Order: sequence, then structure tokens, then C-alpha cells
Amino acid sequence: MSQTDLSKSIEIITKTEELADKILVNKQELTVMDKRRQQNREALRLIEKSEEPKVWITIGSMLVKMKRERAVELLKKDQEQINQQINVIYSDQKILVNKHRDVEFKSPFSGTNLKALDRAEFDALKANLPML
Amino acid sequence: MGETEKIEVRDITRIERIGAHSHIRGLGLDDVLEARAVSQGMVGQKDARRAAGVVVQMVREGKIAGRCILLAGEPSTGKTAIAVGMAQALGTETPFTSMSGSEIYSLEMSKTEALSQALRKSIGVRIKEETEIIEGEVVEIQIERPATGTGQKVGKVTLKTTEMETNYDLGNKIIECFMKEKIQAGDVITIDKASGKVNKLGRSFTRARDYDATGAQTRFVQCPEGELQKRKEVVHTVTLHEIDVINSRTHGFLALFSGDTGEIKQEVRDQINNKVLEWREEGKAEINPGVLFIDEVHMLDIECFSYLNRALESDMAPVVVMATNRGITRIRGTNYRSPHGIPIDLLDRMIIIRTVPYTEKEVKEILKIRCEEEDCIMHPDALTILTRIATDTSLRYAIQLITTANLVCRRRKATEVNTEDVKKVYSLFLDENRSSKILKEYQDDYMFSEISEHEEEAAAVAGGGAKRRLDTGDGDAQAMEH
Repeated sequence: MSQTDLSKSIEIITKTEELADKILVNKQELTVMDKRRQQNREALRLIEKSEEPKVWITIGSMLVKMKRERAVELLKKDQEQINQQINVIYSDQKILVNKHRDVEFKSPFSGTNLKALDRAEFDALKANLPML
Repeated sequence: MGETEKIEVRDITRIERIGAHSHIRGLGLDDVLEARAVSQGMVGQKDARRAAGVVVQMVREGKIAGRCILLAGEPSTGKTAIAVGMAQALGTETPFTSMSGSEIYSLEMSKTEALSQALRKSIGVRIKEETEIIEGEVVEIQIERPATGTGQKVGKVTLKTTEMETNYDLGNKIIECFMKEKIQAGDVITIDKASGKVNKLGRSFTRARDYDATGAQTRFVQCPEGELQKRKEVVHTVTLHEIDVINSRTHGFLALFSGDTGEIKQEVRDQINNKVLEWREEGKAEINPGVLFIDEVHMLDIECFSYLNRALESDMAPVVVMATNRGITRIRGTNYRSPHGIPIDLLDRMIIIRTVPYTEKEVKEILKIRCEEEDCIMHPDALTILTRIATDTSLRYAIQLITTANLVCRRRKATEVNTEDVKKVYSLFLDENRSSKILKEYQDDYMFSEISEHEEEAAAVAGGGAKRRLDTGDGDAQAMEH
């Protein structure tokens, strides 16, 4: 193998590994985000149920006592942000996976760029096409 | 039942019409579409294969929807083989429908209906399904029932994956679902976020020792990994024909299985076209034009040809590949003669790929591949003889002899087919030439031999069967190759 071939192979392998690593990091990130989402949801639920006018919540490492409504508002905002971030990771992941397939000389997954069909529409199809 | 596991990319069933081509795995081309001498079951026919490779490339890029390709060549020169190779090279993503020209003549359906169903079977629509599911192992489940027995129930469930654990408060409706599925601690479940449907995947391995005896249907699964709330996206490809069938109310989807779809109204088709186009505008669907292969295309008549002419102009038309072994012959249903038995106006739209007869070396190579395909070990001498037979008679006859010789060889408990076996089956089974020779020789001993050819013709004309006579008279000796 000539020098250029060698360096080219190394370049391709590094690129593949780099992308694969990014994908795995993203996956880990998704888990972490979901964990946070679930915890947030639990907290929201508990606070909404409690009857105390003021509740304790942590902000970073600080423990703060604040009005219930304010706390709920804060948590809801948090939840929204987390959901947004998860969406960003999902779409990022799709691009990364197709890039990874590209460096491995595979054709990209078809149809990933499609918008999902409406629930009702899909259910109708599914009810009639048992193989779906 | 693990329903979510069943929802996978459905591959389009590919029915191998002819076992004679089961050895073909692709077109045998390299990266730059140059044909390799022997590859993927294909031998020789380099130019035709390269041409087919270019067509496949264009189909993949979606460039030549609504066009027509004609594979023309003498009998047994690999026309169907090339079509099968194209189907394989296109992969499972692209719909490929294969039919024979005479399939359209059915009493249940008009010819044009059969053709338009075939055309619509060859067009895929790619759609995506997106579901948010919660997947985890049940750690604990509490359901509080009111003392009266009826009324609102409330409950709580703790779900976990390998990385995390969380609580969910349960409402009345979802509790019903949980009870219906008989969910208990240790089960691995999925909950569809949109519909609230609960699904039991099985029991967790860690709880395998909870009971001494379990039912036979208990399935053990691993505790899920990663996040609890997952997003699943599945891309399906359905054909336009499938959508047609489920929307033609008179038949319903059961017709898909019985194959008895009957006629589908044009209005239904138009509606579906509009809907699919609408989806495409909204970015919800991709149209994936596939390939319709019509073998023995000279069997179509003038009505079908003019219908095809029109159908190919539609914006949702597949690539139509046709094959014929006819030279200049009558177009079915008319008295006009035309090249390949296809009207000139349709012929003008076509790209014609010609297949050429195989050389002796290529024939040998094909026979070798067939031997491998049929698990038949053949002595080189026997193969040489077989090649000789193939060039003298026909390739198809020689391929038949492989199977039969193999059986004869097994009869005498040998593993390798030798020359004796081939000679034996050659004497046992006649080829077309020898058979007709015998017929000519002993014509007088057969039934109805007293009717001379001249009289027969006269009788046929009198009986109004003149057309049929002409039909059979026109074709060459190998017209009835199937």
C-alpha cells in the first residue's frame, strides 16, 4: 500500500470513528435529558398536588423557598426547554447517522427527512394494512 | 405479544416468477458500471448488462419515471435474467413487479384494468410513522380501588430502565389498560404516549426466579436501556395499488390476500393520486417509482399498447421494462406487421437493449453456475458434453438435463455426475429438434394424420378460426418457450 493510500484510509477511519463517537455521545445525552425530564415531571406533579402556599425547590445547589405558583411556572418553563433540546438532539442524530453511513459508503436511510403522517391517517392505513 | 417489535420496515415481497433464474443475484457490474465477465450469476451479455446498469442507476436517482425499456433478443439469450438482475440490483427499497404479457387476459378483469393494477403495484409511496413510547420495567404498581367497587380508580406505577427510574400517576382509563393486560411488577411494558395503549413485551430476566413454574408463553426479555421515553420512527413503503384496494369500499383489504380485487374505479384512483400528491406537497410522503417488467410483451394486443402509451404520460408512472423474442411480426389484434410486434409509436418511446446469443464459453459458464445452484457436482467431461448439447439444441434443454442427470446419478449412489449419466438422460428426454423429427417420420401413425395440412387450413378458414392459424403460423419454432 502506498503512502497516500495509507493516509487516506487513516483519514476515513478517523472520520468514521469521530462521527460514531458523536452519535454515542448524543445517545448518552438523550438519556440524561430524559432523566431530567422525568424528574422535572415528577416534581411538577408533586408541587401541583401539594396544598402548601410555599414550597422548597433547588436551583442549582441552592435550596430556595418560593411561592407555589412561581415554582410551577419555573418548572414548566424548564420542561419546555428540555423538550426542545431533546428535539434538537433527535434531528441532529439523524444527520449524524446519515453522515456516518456516507463515510462507510452506504446509502443514507431513505425517508428520514419525511414529516410523520398524521396519527389519524396512519391509524386508518394501519387498520387496513395488517402488514404495516 | 410484542407488537412494537413487529413494526419493522416491511420489505416488499419479491416473487421469483421463474426458478430458472434463481441463481441471479444482481447485474454483476462494478462501481463504474463495467460488466464483469462472470459475476452474481450473470455471464456474458456485457453490453446489455451495462445498459441495464445505467437504467438501474437512473431509476435509483428517480430520473426516468414513465419511460420504457425494451429487451429484445432471440430466445434464451438472457432477457428475463437481465430483468431479474435489475430487480435484485434495485434492492428491496424499490418496488419491482414482474408479469407475463398473457397474464392480462382474464375473465374477471378487463385488460386495461389488469395493466393499470400492475402499473400501480410498481409505484411505492414512502411514509413515516412517528410514535413516542414509554418503555421500561415495572418496579412497582399500586392501584387503589374505592371500597364500593365502582368509581374512579387511582394508581401509581414505578418504571425503570438500566439508567433511570421514575414514578407515574395513573388515571382511571390507563388503569383499565393495565388491568386488562394483567401488568404486574417485573413486566417489561411499553405505553404509547398518544393513544395510551399498554403493551406487555415480556418479563424481565432479573425476575426470572420469582416463580417456580411459569406458563409456556412467558417470554423473558432484557430490562430496556437508555431513556424511558423513546421516539420511534418507522418508514414504510406501500404501493399505490395497496392504497387503492383498501379504499375501494366494495372489496376491502381482504381482497389483498385473496388477490380477488376486481375492478377499481377510476374515481378512487384519482382521489388517491390527489391525496398522495397532497402528502408529497406537505413533505409527508415520497413517491418511489419502481419497475414494471412485462415478459413476452408481444402477447399484448393493440388496445393494451395504446393504453400503455397513455399511461406512461401520467406523472405517476413507473419505469416499464419489456422483453420480447419476436422479430418483425403482426401486432396482436391487427393485421399490421411491426418490429417486435409492438406499434411503431410505442416503440419510438422506448430505449431498446439488445441481447445477443451466448458463445460456447459463456454457455459452459452458465451451466456451471446452474450446477452449483442445483447442488449438482459434475465431472468436467460431462460438463463439456452438456455444453455441446446446449449449443446444438438449446440452453434451456441443457439446464433441464442437469437436474435429471443429477437424479440419475443419485440413483446409482454416486456423488458426481459423469458422462454416462448425461448420455442416459439425453436418450431419455427428447429435445425439441429430435421430437419434431420423430413426429415427421411417424406422422402417419399418429391420430388424425389423415387430415393433410392443406385440408386443415381450409377447415380452419371455414370454421372462422383463420386468425388463430395465422397467430401460430407467424411465430418461430421457439414461440412456445413457456
